[in-house]
Amino acid sequence: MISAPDVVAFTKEDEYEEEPYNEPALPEEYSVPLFPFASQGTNPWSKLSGAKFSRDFILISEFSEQVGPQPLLTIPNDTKVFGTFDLNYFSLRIMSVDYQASFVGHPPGSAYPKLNFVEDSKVVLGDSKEGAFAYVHHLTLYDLEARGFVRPFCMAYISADQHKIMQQFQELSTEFSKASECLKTGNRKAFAGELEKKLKDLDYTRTVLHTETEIQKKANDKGFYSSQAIEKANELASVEKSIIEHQDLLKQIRSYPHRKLKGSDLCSGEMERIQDQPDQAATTSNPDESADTDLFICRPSYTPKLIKAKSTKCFDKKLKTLEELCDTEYFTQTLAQLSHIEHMFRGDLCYLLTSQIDRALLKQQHVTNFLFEDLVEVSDRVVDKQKSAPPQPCQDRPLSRSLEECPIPQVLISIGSYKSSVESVLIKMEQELGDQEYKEVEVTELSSFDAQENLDYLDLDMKGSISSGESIEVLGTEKSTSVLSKSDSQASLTVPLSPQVVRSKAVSYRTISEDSIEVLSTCPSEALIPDDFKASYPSAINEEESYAGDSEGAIHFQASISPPVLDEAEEGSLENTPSQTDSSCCIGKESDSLGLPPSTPVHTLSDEDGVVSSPPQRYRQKDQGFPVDLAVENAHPSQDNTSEGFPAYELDPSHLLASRDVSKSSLDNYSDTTSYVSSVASTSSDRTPSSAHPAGPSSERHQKRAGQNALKFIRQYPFAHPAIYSLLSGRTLVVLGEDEAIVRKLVTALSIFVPNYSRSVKPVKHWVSSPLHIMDFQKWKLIGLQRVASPASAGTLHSLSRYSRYTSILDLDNKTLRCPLYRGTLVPRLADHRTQIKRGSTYYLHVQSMLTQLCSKAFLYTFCHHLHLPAHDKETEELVASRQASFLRLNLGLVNEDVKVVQYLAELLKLHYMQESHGTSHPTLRFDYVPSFLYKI
Amino acid sequence: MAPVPRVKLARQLDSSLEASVGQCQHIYSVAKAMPSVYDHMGEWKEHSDRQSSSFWLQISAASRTPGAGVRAGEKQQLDVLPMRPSEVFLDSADLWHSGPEREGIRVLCSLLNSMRRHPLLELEPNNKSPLQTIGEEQTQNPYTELLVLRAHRDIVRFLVQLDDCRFASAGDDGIVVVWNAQTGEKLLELSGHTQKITAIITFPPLEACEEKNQLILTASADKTVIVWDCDTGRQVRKVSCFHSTVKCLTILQRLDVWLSGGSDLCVWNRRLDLLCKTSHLSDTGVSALIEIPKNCVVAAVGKELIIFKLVAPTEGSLEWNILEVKRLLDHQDNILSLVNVNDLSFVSGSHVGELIVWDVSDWTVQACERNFWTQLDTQQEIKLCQKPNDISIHHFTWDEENVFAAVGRGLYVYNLQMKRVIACQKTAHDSSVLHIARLPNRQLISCSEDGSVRIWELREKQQLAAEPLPTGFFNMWGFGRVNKQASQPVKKQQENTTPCSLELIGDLIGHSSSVEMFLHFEDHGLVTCSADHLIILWKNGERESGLRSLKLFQKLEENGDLYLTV
Repeated sequence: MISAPDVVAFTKEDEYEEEPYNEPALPEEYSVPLFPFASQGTNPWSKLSGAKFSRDFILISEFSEQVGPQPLLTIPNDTKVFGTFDLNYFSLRIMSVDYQASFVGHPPGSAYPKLNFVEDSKVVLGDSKEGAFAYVHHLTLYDLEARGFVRPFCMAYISADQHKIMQQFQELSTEFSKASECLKTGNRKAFAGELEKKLKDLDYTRTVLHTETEIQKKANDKGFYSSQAIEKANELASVEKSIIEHQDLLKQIRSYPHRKLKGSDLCSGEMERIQDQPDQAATTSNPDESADTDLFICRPSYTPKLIKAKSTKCFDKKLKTLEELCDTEYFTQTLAQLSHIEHMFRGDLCYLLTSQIDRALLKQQHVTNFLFEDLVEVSDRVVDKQKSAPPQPCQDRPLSRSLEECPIPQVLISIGSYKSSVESVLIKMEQELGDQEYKEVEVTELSSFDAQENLDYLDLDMKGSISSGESIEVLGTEKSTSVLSKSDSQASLTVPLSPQVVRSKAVSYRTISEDSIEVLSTCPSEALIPDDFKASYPSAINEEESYAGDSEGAIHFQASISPPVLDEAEEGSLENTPSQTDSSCCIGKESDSLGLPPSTPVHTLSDEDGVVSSPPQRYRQKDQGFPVDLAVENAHPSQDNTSEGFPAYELDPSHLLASRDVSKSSLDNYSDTTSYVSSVASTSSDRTPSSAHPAGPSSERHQKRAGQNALKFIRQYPFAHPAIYSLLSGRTLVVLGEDEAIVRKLVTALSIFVPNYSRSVKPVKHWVSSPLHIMDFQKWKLIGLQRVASPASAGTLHSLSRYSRYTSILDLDNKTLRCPLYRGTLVPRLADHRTQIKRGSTYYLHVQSMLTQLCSKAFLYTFCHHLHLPAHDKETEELVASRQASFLRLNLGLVNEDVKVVQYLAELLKLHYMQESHGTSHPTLRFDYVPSFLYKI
Repeated sequence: MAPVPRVKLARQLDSSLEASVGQCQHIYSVAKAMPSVYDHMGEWKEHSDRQSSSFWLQISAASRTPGAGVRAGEKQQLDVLPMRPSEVFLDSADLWHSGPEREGIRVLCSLLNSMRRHPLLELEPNNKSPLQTIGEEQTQNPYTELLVLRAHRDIVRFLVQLDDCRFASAGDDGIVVVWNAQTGEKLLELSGHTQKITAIITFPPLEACEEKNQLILTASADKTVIVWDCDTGRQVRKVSCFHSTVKCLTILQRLDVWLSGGSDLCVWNRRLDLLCKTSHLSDTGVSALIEIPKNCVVAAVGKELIIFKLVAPTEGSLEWNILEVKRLLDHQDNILSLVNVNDLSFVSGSHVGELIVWDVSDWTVQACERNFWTQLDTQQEIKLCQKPNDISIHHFTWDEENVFAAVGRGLYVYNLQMKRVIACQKTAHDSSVLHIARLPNRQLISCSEDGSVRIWELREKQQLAAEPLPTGFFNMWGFGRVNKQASQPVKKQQENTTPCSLELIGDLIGHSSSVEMFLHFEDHGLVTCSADHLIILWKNGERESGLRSLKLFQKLEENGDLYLTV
């Protein structure tokens, strides 16, 4: 429900305090962190650097033994995405940071080549020249024909946003590990097959050689061997040796240690699943392949070839492609996984973070979250992952109890821990906690902060200094500013452990760690550290010392941790930042750049072309009636923070006022208007990938559209309130109309108000043309019904009038509504026709937050012990009922019909809670015998 | 939305109309004279045997309701097709009409109505409905929650209560389903019959018996009776030696035997041994069977009530025997309902609305009420013929002093002491009332072919309002069945008014077709079964909500969530 940065603003606003009762302060673990970089004077969606690519993508590169580092493919495979970005150069960069690519070959003590099952290494690197930051995942695949039997590959998630990579490191690592594991599994299979083939070849060669030798022996009984014969014998011997070698290799590859899968890695569970999955797939698709080992033996089709004595390793030989190296099936699966990753991390970091927190929070509220949420499976997976793979051991953490109970702080910590400037993130968190125990919390936080992260961090320091020839630096800041090191030491001072201990631990950790997680940044340009960056530091330290817990201080300090580029825009805007945050949230909450990629290309392009400048932007803001200082702020010289906050199409007045046609083809409209504003019509059409993946952003688009249509409905129909009340109180609303598109549209819009029975079903039927039946009312709470012009509709109408007591009927053609009276105060707040909200998704979020509030009321009502159980045996039912009524009225502040809404939700909660163990229980149809009224426009 | 004028046609398929070729021709000529209907008529067709003829009548195919209550294979036209010279088959569902067509159809319906046995076609007057209606506000109606149960594939005709929280349903699809009345959970499905079930009864376990399980007996049109164990769903025994369909079952708890009534009457013991049987009674078979004191049973066979005496084995003879003791011939038409009212009397009701109260000991008539119909039909503008079905007594229920009778579409309360009707509701429903039951708090529930269930309350009348005298308007149409009541002297009601009244306090709308039967549970509400294959569980919403809360906290306590401190 709380799924966008703008909710941050809501938590701060005072007008929500005007509740009839006093809301207690939000528990800490529920508080949504402010966007850490909000103080930059830019809106959160501004781009950080002049990257040459339009949006994040995944690059797979190989260190080819023939041509060196080369890019293989990108996901999405679209040249528009990476634009002028130099893939070759970047491949070189990312391939050159693999420290671990251990060589496979003859180790000193062994007679035969040994396969080393190398763990993948995960590295973050940045290239500020290219404006690109990347999470790089190195892996090695086996190839019999390759040098040392290994082919180094890497997959890189490339983004212009450094913080995204940093903060999403854990998730990226998990997801890429899956992809890598998939590739490697396929590769092992293919490699084993290849070895078997080779063995057959060798065997055949041996036989041939053997017979030849025999023939020669027979032909030659002089008692001595000719040079030819000796050559043959040598050849035979080498073949024999080769056979043994290959057999050994085969044994090794088959005995791939399964503990490797289980141990040491972060997401062993998932990996195993991934590991098993393809196997199963293979099994089902082809029973012959059930066992890897039988794979090629069972195939009689392969005829062995004679192998020449000469080595096959030639540079003119064509190396296997990645697809050949892995099984095709596994390869395609990997590609699917990678595009899933691309999809998953699409969008702004801020958005990703909030949605992660959001989902984690929602996950916790398992008692109520089914009512209005459409939790997708993906989100469950994400949260599961976060739970199953806690990056730190929790035992010596003071906050561990609350942390274990709720995944939110974990998210924060894991996010924070992968930031290179660790301490600042921590302090940011403390400000979130923002209470009197500031200092204390800080200490506990820091001490609780897991050793591993610190160690890695310290480890990095050493790394940085060692390899600084290549000017690899930790965020490039340590070298340039002594201030940072000061703050660094300060931070480490707060840590109870002495740095020495830490360091020694770090070393030991390093040696035992099989997957090294390193955070690097190549930051060759010194000019990138601006002066004001330095300047902002002292204040930060001051803040820390005086521990002023107020928000301004927080923002000051946050400024210091923000990327240098952003700082340019920050000057003098600090005072305004809070309002800026708010407004940008309120206004820009809708922004498509959150979930929808399309706006990104626009910005990139506009940046490059300089088409969009500040004046039109200011104009737009005035249009929306926002404070002027905001406009001034946004007009700051930073070239990036331009149009992000305002998806252009939303501002198109025709769009806002548009009628049905808009949402029919909203997508097209959006793209059109986008291109209209950004004046780069030709290139702004990069939205095809998103339509290919309906899971993620499409649901957001759906939400947005629903919100917009709901908003329109509220404005258009004065009787929207009773209609929405019907939905909330569980009375089926029948939307009657002739035009299917209109009916469907409205049903979709109104479905955001429909409480669900359970997680699986949404009780909405978009379009029915047959007469309704009692079952329909039990099953559906919102029905789109066809009105047929022919007399056949009489039956439909008859059944409607027959069952009128169970339904509210919204007649779209005659613009009437027949439903019970509503006099509550809840729905007017939920659906105010004079609302200032102009955007669909803003409204959607507004609705969601209101409904969350409602849910919590229902939760309270349902689970308040004394309300439902008689205090003593003699208490009558009337007394209990009156207690309930007074609770609803006085404690929950509900008036008139609002009570019924909460009661209905409470019933759903009860049913759902009971169902959790009892399997399937039927939903009952609840109704009231209340008179209906006919509303007209 | 303006109310759609409607013409209601037969609810049940394959219902027959009695019509001669001549009558059929008459309808044809009438219909043909009406231009609005003419377009929808087929040509008159003489069949080769010259004995039958047919024409088709399509009352606007487009106006058929697609879906509700219409079954697969339904024809697109209304066939008035004399299969035999004396029968017309009608195949239709509800039709809805407006405009000039309606008039024509109405006349046709009247024509058809006039000659059929059952009120298949009914015309609901558009302007003035005599039916008492209640608005949407029903403060006294406790049923605010419903649960639709779906398991049957055909008409559900019988419901029988097994214990406090279980009931069984049976119907034309031949299966018996055992349900949990609280949760609506389907517990068991008993299938064994190949044809529709015609009777069902529970056989409570004997205290002394080692088998504690409750049994259900079902009789079916496949001429078998099956005994089920309703705890396990096991088929205990099956009897298939019947010569005809068993139409009623009764249990004599005292003797631990049960009786089956078909074309003859058989006596069985618990182990399904045939103890004795009567001779062949009639082809139509026994329609109702009740137990009366002195080891006697009363069987309704056609117009007759036959008293049988059951002779249990004594020291003298080890044989069971059943003897016909007396035949009571007071009814003038088929007896449809027969109940034990109290220790002193039993009541029977016939097709033409005769209600006779009998003495259980000497089997004499204590009281007789034959004039229900005279209270009907006042000043309806459309005078259809007085259909016998409007006065046929379908079902009885009773309490200490009153017998409640479902007479045609109406409800009547007959006081046994005063020997007169003390309250009536002439058109309680749109269509025949099929089942009624009395609730403890002077309430009465009725269900009807019109698909509704209504709740009534018997109240003392404060003011005696004069009711117009009945105007006896019979046999408007000179052909068709000659009604019995035409020969009856039209008695003037002794008093124009009744001391009590039945007030409608609520109705339950859910079924889309005729509600066949219902069952009232003290704790779990009302169960209704219907020809639309559904069973609906009606519950008191508030009470259920409270129960759910209790369960919730129970579960919380079980899970240990209740004492979790955060």
